[in-house]
Amino acid sequence: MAKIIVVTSGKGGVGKTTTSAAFGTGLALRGHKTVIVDFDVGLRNLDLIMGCERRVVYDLVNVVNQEATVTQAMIKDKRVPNLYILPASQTRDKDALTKEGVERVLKELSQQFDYIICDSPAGIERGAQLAMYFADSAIVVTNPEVSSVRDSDRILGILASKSKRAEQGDTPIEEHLLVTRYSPERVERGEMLSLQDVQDILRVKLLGVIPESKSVLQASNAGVPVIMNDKSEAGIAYADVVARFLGEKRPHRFTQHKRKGLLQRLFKTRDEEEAAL
Amino acid sequence: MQDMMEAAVLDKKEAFQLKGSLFTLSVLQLYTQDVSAISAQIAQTIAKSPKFFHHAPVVIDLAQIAEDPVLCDFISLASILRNHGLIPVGVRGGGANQHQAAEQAGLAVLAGAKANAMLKPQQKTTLFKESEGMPPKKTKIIRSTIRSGQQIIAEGSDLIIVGTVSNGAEVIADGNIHIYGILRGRALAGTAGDTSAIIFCRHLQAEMVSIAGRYRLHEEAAPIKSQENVCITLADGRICIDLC
Repeated sequence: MAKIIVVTSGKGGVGKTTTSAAFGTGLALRGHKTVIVDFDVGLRNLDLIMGCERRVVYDLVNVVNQEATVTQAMIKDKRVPNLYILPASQTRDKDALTKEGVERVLKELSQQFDYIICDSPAGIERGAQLAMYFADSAIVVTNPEVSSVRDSDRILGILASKSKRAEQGDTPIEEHLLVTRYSPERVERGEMLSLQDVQDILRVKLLGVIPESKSVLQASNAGVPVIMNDKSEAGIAYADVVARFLGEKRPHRFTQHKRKGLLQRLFKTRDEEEAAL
Repeated sequence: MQDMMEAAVLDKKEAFQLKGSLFTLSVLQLYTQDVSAISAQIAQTIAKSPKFFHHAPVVIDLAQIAEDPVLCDFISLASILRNHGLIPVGVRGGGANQHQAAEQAGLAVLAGAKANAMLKPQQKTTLFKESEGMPPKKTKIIRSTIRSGQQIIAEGSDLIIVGTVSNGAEVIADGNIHIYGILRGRALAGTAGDTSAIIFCRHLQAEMVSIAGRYRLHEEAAPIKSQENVCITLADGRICIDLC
């Protein structure tokens, strides 16, 4: 049986799809057979981030409506073995999904895969609720700013009350907090909520911190999950996240502001160098 | 063609549908059972604006004469009302004997609980009095963080939250509220009107606190904030926050 992991946030634009792509790729790189399912019907993005938009023939809605099989709709990643993508439909909306249909698709995927990553749409409506309903584990993606933290709090409440596990009185969904776009320098200047502030409000186990990095945008535009860039701080941080999720102990990196020495000020840092390219 | 289709649709349906609805009715609050005195006053009142009272449905309120040992003659009362052009619908308030007599006179007995509560608001708080013989409901205890958008309601009892109440969350109780965590959202105690309800809190950063309908919002000038144990009470109609 596969473990179903939902990547969710409430607020849009905080990095759900980036995280789904990086996290799923990371699991596959470690040898786990993984599929990433795009639940954002109508705003299909995962295939772009994964660089396979030209290979989409059938999508999740087709499979839910039994117009295509799971095997027909899944796209095998060309770079990473064990990695598959089930894209969303761009021409339909979230009402095209049914609870029964989604359950059937996830059940079928469960027999073949170790991990199923559900990339949730933003919001708290039907689409987001369907993405999380069958989950065993949730990664709540939060930016260090008040509205994102508030929306994550709301989503945590929904996870605890409206999932299948909650409704059937099973053990609750495992909750993990992932803070993305973190800039220790801006925290120090008081422009951004600190990690401590975010954790104080949400009170969920911290899975990782992804630093603000220009390499994320570059990776998205290039259609390569950022975790495959082992020179980028964000990529390294995502690799840590995967390791931690699998039970390894790794200290949190990139959470302290490093004051630049004279030499560093003269020579550009790795990320700045990448950005300049 | 369309008529036929409509008829076809109607055929499939049941003969009627029973629905609940709210209406505004005139209430005749009786201070006496003296039918002739009532009749005289009705005649005077209707003479002032006959059109207003023409075929007006009325409800007879018995709350003030509930203790009267003499049973009201509903049959003659109803006929007097009809003679004046009013339509008696039913009665409210009063005792069991009166209800029985009213039913025999063809009048409906309407729910009187609300009328009683409005007349004697202090009765509402008797839920917690032992003399009533009704045991208070068991305190509701929640052992988790209350997230934004969640609402915890303890009807007719106290509420204990072992955890933090997030911004945008609401905890509501007819009785007292205890919060063993940070109160960042809203807490409303004594919502059934109990002005003696208290909110106890370990760490206060609330958006709003309310007791028995009186509330206080967090404002820059008068913040609802404390790092220490506080109890929030209602004194002279004002919300007070004191260290405890």
